[in-house]
Amino acid sequence: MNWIITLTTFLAASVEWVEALTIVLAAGLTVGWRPALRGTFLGLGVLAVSVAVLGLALAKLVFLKGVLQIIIGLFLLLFGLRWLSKATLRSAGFVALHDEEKAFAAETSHLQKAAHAQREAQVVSFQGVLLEGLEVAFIVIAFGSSAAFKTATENPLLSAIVGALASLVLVVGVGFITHKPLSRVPENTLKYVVGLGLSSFGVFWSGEGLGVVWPGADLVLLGLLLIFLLATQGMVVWLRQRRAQEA
Amino acid sequence: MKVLYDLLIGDSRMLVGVLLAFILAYSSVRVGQPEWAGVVLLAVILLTLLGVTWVKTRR
Repeated sequence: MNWIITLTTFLAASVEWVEALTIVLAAGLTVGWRPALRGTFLGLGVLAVSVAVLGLALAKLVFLKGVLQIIIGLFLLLFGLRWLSKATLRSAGFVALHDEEKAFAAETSHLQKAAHAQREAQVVSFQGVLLEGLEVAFIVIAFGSSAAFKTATENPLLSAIVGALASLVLVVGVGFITHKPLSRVPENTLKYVVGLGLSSFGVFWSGEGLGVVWPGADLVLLGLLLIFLLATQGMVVWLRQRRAQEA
Repeated sequence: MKVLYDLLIGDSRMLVGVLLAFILAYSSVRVGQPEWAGVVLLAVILLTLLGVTWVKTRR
């Protein structure tokens, strides 16, 4: 097991599962658990098939190592930079913080007004689980497959899947007990931390695919993490100052 | 398709910036400067991140 990969995918997946849980809870509590759970299991089934198919396809294409590293690095960067940018804007006060209570209220109100509530609850649950879960699936596959190029002894894809599944069990378990959206989960901070990790790994792996010679080999990852941290924190301070001056 | 585009790409400006970073880094490798290619890659990606974030505050 590669614990760094497990922890990173655990954190990344937690953020997405919390958002999916809010939607499923809204559907279950407003319309009924049968359509909500039907949509959820359908979504999880499609996800499992997607991960299996993509994972196997990537394993077959391992001879294209450099190209795959660039493509996977690109997607890690696109995910990571998007999360970092959003987190920076939220910290600086330009975008409202993500609020699960608010999202839950909006979804509940939407379902109460729906003409075919049963069908709508199933569709909303399916879409919520599938869309949030697809982000998890891409992160799991990207992390698992890229790390596989670096190590022959561990099974990074399995480590990534374990992280994602552990977070699913935890989030569903807590949601099942409390029957409330998990608004206390520091989603914005988690997204920021995971954004730092995804961006750093994205730069590192795409660089390896492009033929970059990194100083200190794998240790450069820590340096990349620190640079992203300093750059975004600097941006937050500057944006806050600008906002204060404009106010 | 739009859902998939939003999910995978999200922001086309980010995509352009990252692809530019890849091209410049690869060019550095090709001209025999693989040690500097990492600096180029990171610098362009950071500029993209900060630039796109700044642009979003202007709306």
